[in-house]
Amino acid sequence: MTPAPGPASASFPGWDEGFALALTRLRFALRQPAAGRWAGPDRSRQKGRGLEFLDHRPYAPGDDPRLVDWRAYARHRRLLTRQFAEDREQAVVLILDRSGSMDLGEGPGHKGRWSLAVAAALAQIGVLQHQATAVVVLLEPGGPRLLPPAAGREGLGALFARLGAVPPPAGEVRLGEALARLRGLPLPSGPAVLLSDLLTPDWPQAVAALGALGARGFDPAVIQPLAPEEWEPPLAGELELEDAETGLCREAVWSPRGLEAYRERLAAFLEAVRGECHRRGVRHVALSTGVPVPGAVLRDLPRAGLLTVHG
Amino acid sequence: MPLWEAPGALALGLTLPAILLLYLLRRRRPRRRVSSLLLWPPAPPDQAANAPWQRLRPRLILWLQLALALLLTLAAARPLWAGGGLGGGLHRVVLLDASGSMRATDVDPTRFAAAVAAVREMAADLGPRDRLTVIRMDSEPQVLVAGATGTRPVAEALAGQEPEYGEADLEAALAVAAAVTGEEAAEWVLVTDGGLSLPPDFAPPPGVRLRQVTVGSHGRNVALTGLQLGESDGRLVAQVGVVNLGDRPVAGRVALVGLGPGGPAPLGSQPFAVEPGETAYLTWPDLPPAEAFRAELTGLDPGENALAHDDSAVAVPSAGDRPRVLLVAAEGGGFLEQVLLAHGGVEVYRVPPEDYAGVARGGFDLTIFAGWRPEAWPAGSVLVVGPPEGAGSGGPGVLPPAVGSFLPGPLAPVPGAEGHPVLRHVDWSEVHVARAQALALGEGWQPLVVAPAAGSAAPAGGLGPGTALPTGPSPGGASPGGPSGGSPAAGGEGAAQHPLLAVQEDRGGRRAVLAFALQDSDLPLRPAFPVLMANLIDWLVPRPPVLAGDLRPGVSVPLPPLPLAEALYLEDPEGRRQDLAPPWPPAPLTPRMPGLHRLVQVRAGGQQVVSLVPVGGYLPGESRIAPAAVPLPDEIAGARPAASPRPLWPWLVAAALILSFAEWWVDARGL
Repeated sequence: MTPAPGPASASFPGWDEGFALALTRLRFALRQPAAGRWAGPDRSRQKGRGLEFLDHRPYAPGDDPRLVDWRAYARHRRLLTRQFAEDREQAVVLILDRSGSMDLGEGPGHKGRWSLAVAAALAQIGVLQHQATAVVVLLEPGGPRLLPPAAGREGLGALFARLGAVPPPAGEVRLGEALARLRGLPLPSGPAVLLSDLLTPDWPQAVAALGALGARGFDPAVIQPLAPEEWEPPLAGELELEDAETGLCREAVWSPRGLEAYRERLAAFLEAVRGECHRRGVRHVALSTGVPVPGAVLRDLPRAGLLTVHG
Repeated sequence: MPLWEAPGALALGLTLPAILLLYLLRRRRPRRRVSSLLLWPPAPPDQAANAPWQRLRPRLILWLQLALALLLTLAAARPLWAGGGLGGGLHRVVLLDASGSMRATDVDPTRFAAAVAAVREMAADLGPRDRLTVIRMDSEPQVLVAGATGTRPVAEALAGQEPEYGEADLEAALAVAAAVTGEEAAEWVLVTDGGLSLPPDFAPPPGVRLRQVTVGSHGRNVALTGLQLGESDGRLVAQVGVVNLGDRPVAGRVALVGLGPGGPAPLGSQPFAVEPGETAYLTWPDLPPAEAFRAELTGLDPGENALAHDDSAVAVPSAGDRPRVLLVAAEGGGFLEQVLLAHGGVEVYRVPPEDYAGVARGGFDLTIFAGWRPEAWPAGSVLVVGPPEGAGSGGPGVLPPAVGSFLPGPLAPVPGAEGHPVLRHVDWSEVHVARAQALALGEGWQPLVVAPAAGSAAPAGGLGPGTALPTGPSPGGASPGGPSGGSPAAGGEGAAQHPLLAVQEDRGGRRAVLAFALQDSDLPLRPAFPVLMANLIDWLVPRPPVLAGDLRPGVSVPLPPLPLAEALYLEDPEGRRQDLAPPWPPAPLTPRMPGLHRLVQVRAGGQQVVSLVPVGGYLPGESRIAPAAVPLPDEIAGARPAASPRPLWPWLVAAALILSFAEWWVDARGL
């Protein structure tokens, strides 16, 4: 079924009709049953009315006579009630890091805009799979801001509009503290995807807070976008570097030897993030914003196990 | 020591502290915004500080830049390296004295040999880039070898060289050295025994140092100043001068020898004793006839007489072949005949005009026509006195035609011609002329005495005041007579001047014309007459001046026209022949050695007329052989280094270029 993308989708880079069509064949890869409160399309751990038979239990007064297994009663003269796996609804939570470090890159490769586009794609995937999609924007000041979720296609356009109205990345966001404050938000359970470069000193706290969501029925994951110039800085000479979040400056003599040291530090940083995520049960994928959004969503995220392709 | 062509450029050295200051000052670096400083290594503490200064770090690029600035500063000052002496590419120009004094034997074997040895040593000291030029300095300096870089060409050039007997022309040698040196730096070495002096306004070219090497040990020498011959009571008398140029009294003898076809004939010797600096004169009375005489010093200690070629003197008696003069006089020739006979130096023959044809080819040295003009001019010199009116048939260009007579005013020499030999000691102020012929002077004629035409007695030719006589063509003004040649009107003030005495000289001989007859003037009654005639005869029939005995080696004497000679050459005492003519006019007579020379005129038919030419060996400057340094002004001697300065800036620039590449390489790699 061809979705009807809202008017706001056109403002995201990389969106076109083919990309929107391709998104219909994707869904979030679930590592645990749905834990929604309401009935939905996803299998849950709850036993109740459903289509898939799970077990019998002795009849108890009050059970629905339609659930009594009359054939078993004919054979065993015992009243047994049939139990079915109950399908529950599952939500998707997209967490957008809008700190100043995300304000880097040129054109479509700008980390902030690239993250919004990916979030829009993921939101569309969720909505098309009948998953309520919530977007949390980590801003500073003000703390995490929960955008009204979109539960159906009719709300997708509004969600896109709200994503388009998200303030540009700015300021310093204490990522670990902000994610810890997600506990206070009425978030539906389901995949919780953080789009952040994690370029903050408290990134371990952020990963820990994200991992803590797993205990609450969420399936946490991190998409870590890094701009091409962060993978391979084009800097040369003696420079004064300014931290986009804190505004601190640092003088550096940029030489081939310094570039090699940077590469080593970047590799060590990514390896540390990857290890910490693994330890916390958080799926992790680091992507270059130099890769267009369709390529990242249709190829890299399924390859990383965050999305699956069906049908 | 380096020299600087542009020392002011050393101020560029201030760039060195400026570079250091730039490294001390914190540079304002371009600011780049990055997502986080998390991945960037912390800056060194000195870079993180906010102070405008930073600690000077010994970076390689800093030293490279300092060295680069230093090299460029030095190159801009254009240093010259003047050190190294002979190793620095020196051009040494040797002026080798080859004058007569260098024949002195106070140094074994001679001073000249010692000087040559010194030059050879200089050649042996030549460095790989040095050059040596040797200029022989005598009466006519010449370059023996130029720019030699080894000893062999110098040795070959010096082989067989002998000094002259005359003086050295230092000024000419310096001019030659300047031409050889050009604009390069050089060292001029004067190898001499002294006796020279620099021209008063001499200044060596820039970059040239002048030094000298003096040869010689002592100055003891005795010389014969000359041998003079004269007559006393009809007897031939000889006098010899002996000068002691040393510092100790000397004594010896002077022998006199008579020279003739039969060989030398001793005429006795006389002793002498002379104090230092004094001159003694010895006299020989009543000498027998001889072609020539030679006086020689004998009996002297060789240690007291270091120069040999001034120990003899020669002289030739003036008697002998007197010029033959033919006087062709129509009338009134008595004055002329008397004055010719009184002259004594000529043989006079007189014929009337009608007999002239018979003796016209007699080979007379001088023919005098008085009041008459022949059909054809004779060979040899001609004097015309009182020419008849008309052009005659002597042919054009021989004698000027007389175009009319006039009454001359006061006689006066032509301005500028007063020094002519014909006018020497002749007083024209008391001479009056009643009638003269107006001469139309042609090319080559030089008027010597002119007079205006007096108005009251205008000549038949209608000449009057203000009327210039025809002077004939004078193309280009090329007259040997001087600035007023061919212009008889010169010197007049409002009135035309007419020549009364004019002369001409060409290959055919010398000619003179006196425009008035002697009987038409009071000239024969004036003291000027015998003087004028003597001057005319001496000028028209010149005796070779070499007979005067004043010749010295290396001194050039111009020869007068010898109209009867077809060839002329000189034989020196050793029999070597020096051709003087043709081509005509003859080359100046320049004897190269002292002694009795023979000047030979070859006349028509191979007839040879030989004149003995005595050349003295005594030259005061050369016989005073005391070694002395040539006085050099302080600003010339050693004021400047003589080493050829080499520019160093190309090497500095090349090194700076290499350093600039190294600096770029270091900067590109962030070292």
